[in-house]
Amino acid sequence: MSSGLDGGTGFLVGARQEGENIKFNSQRNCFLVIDNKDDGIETMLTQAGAKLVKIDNKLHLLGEDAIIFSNMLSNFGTEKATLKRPMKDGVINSQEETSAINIISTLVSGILGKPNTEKEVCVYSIPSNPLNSEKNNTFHKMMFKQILSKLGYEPIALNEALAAIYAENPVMGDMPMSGIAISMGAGQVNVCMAVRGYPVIEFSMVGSGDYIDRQVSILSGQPQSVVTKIKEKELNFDNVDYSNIVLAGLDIHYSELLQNIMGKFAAKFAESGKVYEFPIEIVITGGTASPPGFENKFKNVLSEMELPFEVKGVRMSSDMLNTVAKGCLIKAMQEEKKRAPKPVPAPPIPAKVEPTPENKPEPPKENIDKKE
Amino acid sequence: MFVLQNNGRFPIIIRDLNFHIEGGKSIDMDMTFRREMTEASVDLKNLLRCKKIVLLNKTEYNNEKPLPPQIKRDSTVIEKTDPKGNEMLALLLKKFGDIEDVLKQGGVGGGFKEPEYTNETWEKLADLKAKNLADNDKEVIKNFENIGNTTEKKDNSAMDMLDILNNLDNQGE
Repeated sequence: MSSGLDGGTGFLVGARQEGENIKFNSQRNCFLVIDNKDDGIETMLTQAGAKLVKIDNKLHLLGEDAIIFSNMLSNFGTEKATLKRPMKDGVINSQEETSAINIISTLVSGILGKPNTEKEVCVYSIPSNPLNSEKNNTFHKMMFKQILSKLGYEPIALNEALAAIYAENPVMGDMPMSGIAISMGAGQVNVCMAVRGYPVIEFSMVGSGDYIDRQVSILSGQPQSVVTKIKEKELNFDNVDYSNIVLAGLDIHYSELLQNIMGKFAAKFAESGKVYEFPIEIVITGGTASPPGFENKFKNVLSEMELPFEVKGVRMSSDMLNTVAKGCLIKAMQEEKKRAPKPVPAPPIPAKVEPTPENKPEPPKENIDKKE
Repeated sequence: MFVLQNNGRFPIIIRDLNFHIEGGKSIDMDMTFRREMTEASVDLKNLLRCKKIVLLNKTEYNNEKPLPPQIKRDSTVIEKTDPKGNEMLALLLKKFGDIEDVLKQGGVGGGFKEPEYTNETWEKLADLKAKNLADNDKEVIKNFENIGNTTEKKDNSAMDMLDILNNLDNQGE
């Protein structure tokens, strides 16, 4: 058995192979601290079926429940109803560090459960170091390693966009696992170009979904949670209502982000000095790329750019939320296979030697005597 | 956040495992994971060499702000070798010791030559910090086992992709 984990800023997604099926388990990566001075609130929330965790006697609501209660409390004008994220810009949120680790640890164990076998391999996604920020993923990588080790897994880190390559298998000519994957999460955009499954260009950029929501919130004066809700429910890039300041703002910020990503990729590609015989396929995944019409928007942005390579086509991944977790699972399955004890080879069967006049054994002497 | 003074030479602000030195120089453990921050690592090593640390005060001051003079006056001397006076400081000093060990393993220097640390050293430091945080003794009580929204999909493509990856591996690509 093996498992994959997409440790995203917006969602945590676990994946396991079960027979012919893949079982995905996902949860929003967020929490809400509840003021539990009133003893009744814990009972009320428990009866409502809310997922609660008490850390050092402080009550926290986790995942989807946190969003529901945050929206509800905001509507009543309650203070301290701000939704918090244990991760920010693709890595563990340093401002929330100590509680962030307990929250992520609780969420991960709730999503993956205990390992099925001792030292079960769990491949988890990590971002590249971003080009436009001093953030560094080393601590984030080690923290997830510690969390998974404590749960009893054998953790292995894998670049998020490379995981998307493994799940989606873009092709260049007849070369499998070759192309560009762009994973657009809430915190970062991760980009990887691989050739035959090996990464040749990798980078990330901060300023993805959450950042766009924040900017549009400032522009429109709407709370960020409202902007996020509008983005998830109403945004359609094929038909943007520019009289709506939120939708117009989202459209503009998305254009800027996509131009930035492909501009940076083009520069990295040119720097590499590599020339490929075949056009390159681009695969896109991630929640930030989920609004309807995104594929056309991306193609429009590409058509206005001069790129130092030919694009074979742009394809959205088959499952925007689960692709990275699936890629991690595939890598984990490969690792498990490598680690499995090799079957002991059977002892060689001696080759049957055909009798020839030279090697024909002499008949036993007593038989010869009897014949005579 | 804690403010420490090193032998009366310069005050040091410590926020968990982040080290900041007043007067523009700062050592942030998150930053020292970057390979190019070798200068900060040298400062950190000097800090770790000091035998006596003075706990000035527990403060809410921002890392970027210079240390106000009244805090310097409110000093409480705590020997590095005898950290019994303050549990939190003892914990911090224990972490100091752990970091020192990693730096000793990773750094090569001497005389005027600055120690150089490899990416492996930064990874070890990050691992250490992660381990310290993961081992925190906070009590965690939850009212659930499974928290995810489960979807199960018939998907043979994972096995196909695994075959492709194995083939690429076998080809030695």
